[in-house]
Amino acid sequence: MDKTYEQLQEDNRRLAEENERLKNEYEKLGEMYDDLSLSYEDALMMYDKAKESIRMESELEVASNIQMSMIPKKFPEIPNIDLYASVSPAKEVGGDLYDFFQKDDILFFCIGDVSGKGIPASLLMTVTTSQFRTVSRYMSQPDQIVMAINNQMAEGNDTHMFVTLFVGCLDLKTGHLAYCCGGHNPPLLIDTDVKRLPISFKLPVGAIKGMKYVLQETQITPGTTLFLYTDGLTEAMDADMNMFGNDRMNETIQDLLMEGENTPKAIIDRLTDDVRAFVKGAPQSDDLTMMAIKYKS
Amino acid sequence: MKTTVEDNDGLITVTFEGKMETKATPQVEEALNPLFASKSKEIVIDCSKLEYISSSGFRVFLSIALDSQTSGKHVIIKGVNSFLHEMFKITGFLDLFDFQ
Repeated sequence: MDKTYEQLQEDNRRLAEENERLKNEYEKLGEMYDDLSLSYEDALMMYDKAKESIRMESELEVASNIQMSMIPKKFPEIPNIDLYASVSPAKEVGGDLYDFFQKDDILFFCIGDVSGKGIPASLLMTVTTSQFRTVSRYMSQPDQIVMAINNQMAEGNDTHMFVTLFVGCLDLKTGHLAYCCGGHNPPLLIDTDVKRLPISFKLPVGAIKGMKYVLQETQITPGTTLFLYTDGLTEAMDADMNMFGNDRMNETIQDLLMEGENTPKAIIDRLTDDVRAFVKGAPQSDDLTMMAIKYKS
Repeated sequence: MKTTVEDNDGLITVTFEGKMETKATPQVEEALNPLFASKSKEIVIDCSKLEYISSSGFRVFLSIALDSQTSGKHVIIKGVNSFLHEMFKITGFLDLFDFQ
């Protein structure tokens, strides 16, 4: 049966409505597709970022391994002394350093802390360590060693980075200690008591070219331990930003002496434990390095 | 960490407040740009509300000292607490500034 004009009009209206509905659906599908393709692009970007992050992490791990390989972690038998040290960077790579080696009857050693943290500090740390080894081969006085490193480092130092550095030369036969300090925390002398090694306060190394550093000397008596550390020990912070401090460091060592313990390893292990207990899991705020040398006879 | 630099008729006053930790030093350095750009010869650094200086923070003080040497500025540091004074002493920075 033929449709009436009104019926055809009604069909047309329904068709137009259906057409509009389909158009809307189509647009929604298009938007969903755009969303999907955006998510896919995001996923690709995230994948690339993850890949880059893994690459950087593995590069940092390599950098950390290179850096740690520059720090002696084995403590060979050296006549008349007992030596132990530890380093614990706050990040993958750090700015703290220590080093030691024996040349004839002299123990050459150093401890240092580069300004800042992370990769920039680690680069200057490696430079400092290699300069210490190079310069100490042909210079035998700590002040000469410090001044040579300072002048090389300060040359064109546009970033004004520097390293606090303590260099010592201990005569293994006599106990005579020659030393020079460039802005580093005064080491401690531990026998039956705890004392600060007298220090001439001078700027850190690399700060100003031509700076004069001072040669200092003392006699280490048998049984005395020279304890060197970086500020990551005394400035270790808990979650409320309270510092471990000089007093706690001294108390810990005093307690150990009361227990009849004063070997380098015992001192460093106890301080490591006490700092860990003090910060109560707060993220490590700075590199922490300690070195102890006991002169036996 | 808050850093302010004020210019009062040629006298520059820098005020540090809080803890100058490593992560804060880029902001501190940026805030000090007016000091480095200034032609003023008299600088006062107020540290009475400064609680802590990291080694990176000392790098900022070294930059101020080196800038003052090359541009002939006289830098007075005021109000450092006893803990910070000890840090300035150990690091040899007491020789770089006029402490009052």
